[in-house]
Amino acid sequence: MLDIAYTKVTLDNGLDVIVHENHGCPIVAVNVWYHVGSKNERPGRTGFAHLFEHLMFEGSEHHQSGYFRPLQEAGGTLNGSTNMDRTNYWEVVPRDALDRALWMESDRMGYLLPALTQDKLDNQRDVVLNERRQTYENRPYGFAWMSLLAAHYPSPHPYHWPTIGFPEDVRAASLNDVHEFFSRYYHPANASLVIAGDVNSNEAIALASDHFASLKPGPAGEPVSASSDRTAGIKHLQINDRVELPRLYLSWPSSSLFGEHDAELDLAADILAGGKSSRLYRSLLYDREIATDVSAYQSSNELSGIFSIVVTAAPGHTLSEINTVVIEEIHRVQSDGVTEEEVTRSRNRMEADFVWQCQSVGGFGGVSDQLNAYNVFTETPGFFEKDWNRYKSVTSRSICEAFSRTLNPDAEVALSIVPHNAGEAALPDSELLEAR
Amino acid sequence: MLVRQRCQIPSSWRRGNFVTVDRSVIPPLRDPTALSFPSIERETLPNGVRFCAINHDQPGLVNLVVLLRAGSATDPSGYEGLAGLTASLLDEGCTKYSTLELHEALGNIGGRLSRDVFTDATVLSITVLERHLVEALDLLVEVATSPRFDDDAIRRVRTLRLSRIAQLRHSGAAVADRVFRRGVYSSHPYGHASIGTESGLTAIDQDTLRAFHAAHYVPGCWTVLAGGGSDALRLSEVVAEKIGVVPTEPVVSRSGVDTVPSDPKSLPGRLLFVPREGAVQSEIRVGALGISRHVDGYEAVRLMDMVLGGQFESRLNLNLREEKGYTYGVRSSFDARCGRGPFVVQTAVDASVTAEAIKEIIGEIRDIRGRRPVTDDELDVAQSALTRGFSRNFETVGQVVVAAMRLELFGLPDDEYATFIPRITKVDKNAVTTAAQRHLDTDELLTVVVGPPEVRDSLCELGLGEPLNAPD
Repeated sequence: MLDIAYTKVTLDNGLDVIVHENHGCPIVAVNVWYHVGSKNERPGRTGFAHLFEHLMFEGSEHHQSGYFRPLQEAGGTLNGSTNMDRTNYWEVVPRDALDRALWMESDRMGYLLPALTQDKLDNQRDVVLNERRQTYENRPYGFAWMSLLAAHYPSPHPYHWPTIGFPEDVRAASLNDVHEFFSRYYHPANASLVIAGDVNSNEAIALASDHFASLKPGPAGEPVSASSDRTAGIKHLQINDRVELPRLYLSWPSSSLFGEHDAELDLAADILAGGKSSRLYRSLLYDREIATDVSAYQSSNELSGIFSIVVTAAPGHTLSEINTVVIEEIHRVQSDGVTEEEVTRSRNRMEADFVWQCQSVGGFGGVSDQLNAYNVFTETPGFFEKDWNRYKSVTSRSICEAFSRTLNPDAEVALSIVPHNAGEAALPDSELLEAR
Repeated sequence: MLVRQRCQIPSSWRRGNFVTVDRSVIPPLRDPTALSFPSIERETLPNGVRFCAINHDQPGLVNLVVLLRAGSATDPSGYEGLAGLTASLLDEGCTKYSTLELHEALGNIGGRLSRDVFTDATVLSITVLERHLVEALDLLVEVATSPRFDDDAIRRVRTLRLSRIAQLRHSGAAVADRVFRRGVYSSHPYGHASIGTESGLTAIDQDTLRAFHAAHYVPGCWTVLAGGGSDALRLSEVVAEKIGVVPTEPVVSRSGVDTVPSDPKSLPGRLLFVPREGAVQSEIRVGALGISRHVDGYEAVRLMDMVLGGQFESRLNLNLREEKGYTYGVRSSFDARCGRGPFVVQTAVDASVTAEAIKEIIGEIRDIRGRRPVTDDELDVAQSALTRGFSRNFETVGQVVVAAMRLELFGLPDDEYATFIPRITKVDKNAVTTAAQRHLDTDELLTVVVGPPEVRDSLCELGLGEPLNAPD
């Protein structure tokens, strides 16, 4: 059984401080979330939250050079990431270097701007443009996810643009934008700090207070709402790309994070495409041999989610053939349901994954990151048990309901990515998109 | 209940009661925490299996590993991909279960079976909740000992792997890796990836698979490792009892076991270019034949690599990313294997600066060999990073079992981890520069570029000779 006891206090300046003790290894994780992501951006300045994340590693007033060196030298490892809803930063250091990690995190939370120069901004803008090229533009199928987002969420919906941003917007970012963004979003009242590992809770909270309590709070954050509706009808899109095999992305509007049917759809994704006994693997790769891989995801975010099924065709097969089989399997679930055994297996895998993730106190998805996710999205760091109960209460029947409600043929966004010379492999009547 | 949690109220904390820290100086470092690597109990079971029980308390999860000392370097010439295909067919039916039944059985215990084929080893591993230990052991033994190798499954899985190879041709990074590997090793056993080649995969049939399995998966050759759970003694007993009775054939040939591929021929430096129409970045690899894990002065090589490109704040990354903005990241690595693995610097850069980036990479390699040797400060930071950060490597059961496995694979002493910190600490600057001179021969550097055709001309001016077309 996992023991995730924690202590939580909120400092006068609004910063939540959460401590979890685990004395298994002489290390400690520091994890900071800012409740700001690409959904807080505006059209014309997309990609800014992520570019800003890069600038957080370029030094702050009392340590003006790179953020990495003092922590690397302390034996630490560190990183950060940005998504649509939040930005997170973490370091894992030997327990004796906790004060150094907190010193560094608090200095950039309170005093980033005095160290920020035009040169640093120009340099990180180039780095980010290269990140975009490496991760999306120069990679087979690299434009898929951003094209699906744009199709599901017409502008100016705050999920319309990709977190990495559009290149012209990234190029347009100015020092002035950086100052504004920092004042608005990077302050204690919009942040949450977790310290997890080989520490004493009282000492850790005292140390956190000494480092963070004197920082000034900023304006309370306005929650972002969906400023426009999602796409409701059917959309068939096509991208011609430098790829070997056609790939089909079928997707539907779905539940938000922790929303109704979110857990059902997580398990449904596993029943459909998790491993070789899953329905679509058997049908597409095993029985018919018309595909080379299949996966399914429930990607849920604060405002809403997307349920997707992704299939790569085997050589010589079209995406229409694939589509027919996938739809058939979906209908089968909608009419005959899923078995209790399937639900149990998927839930067992989920349980093992959950325990597996909680082995590490730090890093992406470790206990400290999870405590912050729960705190930021539900205001309850100890949401672990409730979270798990969502999966425990899923039944074959509730999965069936989620299927019927979500995998609705009239609200489907289908994207075909096909080789340049094989346009005929796409779903018929697809609108051709310019990859960008 | 999966999770026990409670929110404690801090006893001593008072709101508004704090001492603002001194911001004029970063908190100093203290002595590194001593590390005690978990004890490993070793025994040879009645059937000859080597068994290592690692005493690492991890309530909830256990990790079981079968280490086979045959990997892609064991593939016979002309059958490249055999070790990989063998491993990937293990879950396609065995004596007791069909493919479907096997995956249902795995699902019932929430288990994921992983099979990793490296150059020198194949590693089968399963991690499960402690309560499923016995079922997991049974499944692991079944898949390792009795795969069916049905013709139909062979055909289907081979086709999938051929498709994968075809797909990788469209990934600049994958093409660069393949051309670099081939360029350094040519037909040496380290010259192909575990997925193999089209001709190798096509040549494989049921007989070759059965023969490979009989030679290299025979239980007498196994090393089994187990760790985790809340009761190390019980874990060790249960695993030893189950594994100890697995029937084994006599180990006839230990080919691939304890045999290290001989050194490949060193080749003179050159530049290989692969044009990729419309690419917005160039994938670059610069490197050569590197070191084996048994090289003299291994610690000095590790430290030299840290300074050159083995961490974020390294010469290469500070230069190419943080100063020039050419790339999202660049790193160097020495892959120390049973035989001599590759040394490589890898990055993807904006296509317009391809030649400049290569010039900088080669410049940094030259510099660290003597023109601008490692400084006291750089060595301090690298030593400090490795020694103070050492305990981070042993947090989870997976990390600890892998660490124990590396002792087995490389035949390292049990006190390897206990002596790591003093061994790193005693390396001096001269030793690091000597390591750079010995292991970074700038005359033998192979440069691979996968980028848009229009960058080709700029590469002619690098002094690396005419860009050659990459052999396929």
